[in-house]
Amino acid sequence: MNHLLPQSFFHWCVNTPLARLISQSMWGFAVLETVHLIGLTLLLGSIFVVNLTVLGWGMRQPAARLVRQVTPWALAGFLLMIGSGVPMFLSAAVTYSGSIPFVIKMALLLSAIALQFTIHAGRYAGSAVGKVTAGLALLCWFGVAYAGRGIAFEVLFGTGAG
Amino acid sequence: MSLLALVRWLNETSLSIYLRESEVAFPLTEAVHLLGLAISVGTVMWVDLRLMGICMRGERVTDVVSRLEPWAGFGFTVMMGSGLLLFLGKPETYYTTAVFRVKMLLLPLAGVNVWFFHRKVYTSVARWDEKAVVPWQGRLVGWVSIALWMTIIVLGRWTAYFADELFRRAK
Repeated sequence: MNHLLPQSFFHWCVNTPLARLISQSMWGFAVLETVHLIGLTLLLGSIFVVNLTVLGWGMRQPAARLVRQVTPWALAGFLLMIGSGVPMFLSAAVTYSGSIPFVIKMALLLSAIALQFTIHAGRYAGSAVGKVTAGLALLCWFGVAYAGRGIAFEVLFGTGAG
Repeated sequence: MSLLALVRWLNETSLSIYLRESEVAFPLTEAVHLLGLAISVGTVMWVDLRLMGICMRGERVTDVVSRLEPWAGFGFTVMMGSGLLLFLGKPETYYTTAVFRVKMLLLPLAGVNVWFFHRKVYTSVARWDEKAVVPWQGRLVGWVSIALWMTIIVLGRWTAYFADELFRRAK
């Protein structure tokens, strides 16, 4: 990612007051990671059940009705993830700028969001295209979580990336 | 043999040493543990929210339970398997970590909660299957389950911090 954006941007990030606060506190990052994990449970839990239902392996109710019911929870999870993820990025932006798992995570995240909105556009409800999209989106979402764990270890698929 | 002696013996087995020293095994197992979390607690929370009367109030309780429990079971199997491997990698470190001990005390309680639900509450589901508000025993099971799992998630995350070598050395 250090080729996509100028290095000065990442240095600006780590020097913001919020970033300084986090890196100077002993437990700041740990608390943010905990919030990130609770958010993940809510968001992935919502998406998992919705996409399974689109695939025909989840709930019996129509997917559209399920989506209406779980959206507030998915949104809460997403806000928790963004609200904790952005400060974590700020506090370690220079490190993340050279992290391959981080770039993969962001690419998968954009793909997952795009695929998820394709499903909810509704045109493909019940069709084979809709099912394939739901399956792909699910793979991308789990990939986001997997790559996210990889950022901490700088390891992906067993090869050192850092 | 005392529990500590058993843990110390486990710590020196070749499997434990491999899990601990391999650059791949530990991160990979932790990633699987994370995906298992999304599947297990990510599905069980909908059963809990339905019982609490907070979400899916219009759906039959039997629909929610019967459609999601197999996935929760699958997720928990993944969690148990990967969790066991994580433990086997550093048995002595985890055994001596306080938050891990609390987590291990809460896990059986979550099991008892599921047992209580199926043996004492779910047996009469026919009478309240379509009701938005289920009997108090059912609502209690939902609240207890959510509270236990959220606590277990937090304790699990903090186990990784307190068991970390850097933290232990700083202490």
